[in-house]
Amino acid sequence: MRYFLIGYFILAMICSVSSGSQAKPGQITVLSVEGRAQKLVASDGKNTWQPIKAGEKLSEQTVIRTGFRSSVVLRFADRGEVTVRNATKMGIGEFRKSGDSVRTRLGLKYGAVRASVDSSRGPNDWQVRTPVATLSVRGTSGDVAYSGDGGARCKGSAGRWSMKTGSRSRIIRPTEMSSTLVSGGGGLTRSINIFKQARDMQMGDTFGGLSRPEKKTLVNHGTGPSVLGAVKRKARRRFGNRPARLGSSSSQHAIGGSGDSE
Amino acid sequence: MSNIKYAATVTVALIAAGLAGCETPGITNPQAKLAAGEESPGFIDRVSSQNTVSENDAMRGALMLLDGKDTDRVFRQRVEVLKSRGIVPNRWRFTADKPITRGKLAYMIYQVCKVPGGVILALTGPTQRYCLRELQYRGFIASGAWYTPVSGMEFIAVLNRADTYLQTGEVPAIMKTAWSR
Repeated sequence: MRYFLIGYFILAMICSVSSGSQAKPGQITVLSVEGRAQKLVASDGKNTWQPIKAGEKLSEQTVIRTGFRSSVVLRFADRGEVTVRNATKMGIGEFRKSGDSVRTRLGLKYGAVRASVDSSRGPNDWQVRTPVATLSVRGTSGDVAYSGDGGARCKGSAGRWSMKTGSRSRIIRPTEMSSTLVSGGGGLTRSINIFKQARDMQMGDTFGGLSRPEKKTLVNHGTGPSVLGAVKRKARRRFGNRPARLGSSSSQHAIGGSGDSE
Repeated sequence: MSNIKYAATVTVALIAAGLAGCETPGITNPQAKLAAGEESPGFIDRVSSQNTVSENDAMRGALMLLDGKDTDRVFRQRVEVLKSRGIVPNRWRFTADKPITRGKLAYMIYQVCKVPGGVILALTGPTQRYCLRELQYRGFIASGAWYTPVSGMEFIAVLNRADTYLQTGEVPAIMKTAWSR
């Protein structure tokens, strides 16, 4: 039995090594270029920056930098797209396909990228590394940014992301945002704060402020331990169990504008 | 009579010394140059690795934000162009190699982006202190006093936000500073 197990593990190791050696570099195509963008291919040894053109193929170990009012859209074979935004420097560390699975490693020195990953064609091991944190895509799409004074930030659009720094990690769901402190070292956003951000976003932040029905709803139904919540509690204390109402009683679900006729 | 002669002599001597000693009023080292033909990706990459950002580099950054390029050869030309466009005031003293301060950077970005200010800015006009406070409130620039220098990474982060603001009219939450909402 012991020999059988040892043999099994040796066979498994050989299989894993052989499958690793079969990993082939995937094809990265530049879909579009806007403004000024340059590339540096580390593997060719020339160490010169050249302009990027739409339609050209990029290889691993390529560094891309963009200027003001610029962006580059990259297509990673059949596995997704990455938009390199303005004033960004990003490196393609690895993009390899082994059977159905794909392993991608991107490095972000500064700026922001939007990643959109297609996981329907097979397993993806997709990571974006910043100086202070590593973001891995478990789902579909989201934005990753790193700046010298803002640290690393990730905002999920669809699917889940994982943000890891040191031994700590956070799962980021759609519309949630997580960040690290500039120096990293475990300074991830607390889970409760991620939840609060997600909750606050429903209050009209993305649309430039609160609408009147939303304000009514918040005054009437409270938002927890905030200023409006305190108003509500104070009103309850003063007038018994009847909260002060601003508008019609049909504003139960007015966040999102569906419950009020105004 | 001798007093009048003395006063006139002193005045003439002061004017002569002023004319001989100053190269350009308010500008120190006006002939300072930067690499010619530098494009914005290269400029951002170079500045990102610096501990501080000189006023000369900061002016180039402001011009690149405005026009996408900087064709001016020397520091004095940059200052004159920015003065004529109202990005920097005439009363400032400009030193090419001196690190740009948070207040000066905030003033320039405020003017480039034409950010709507608050009550104080509306009443008093732009000042370094209140431009900085406005940009801190809007998540453009991290907290800190107006007289402190700006690091390279912080500088390009501010320029990145300003560029995005110029294109979209807002700074996305994912790009704001660490402590802004």
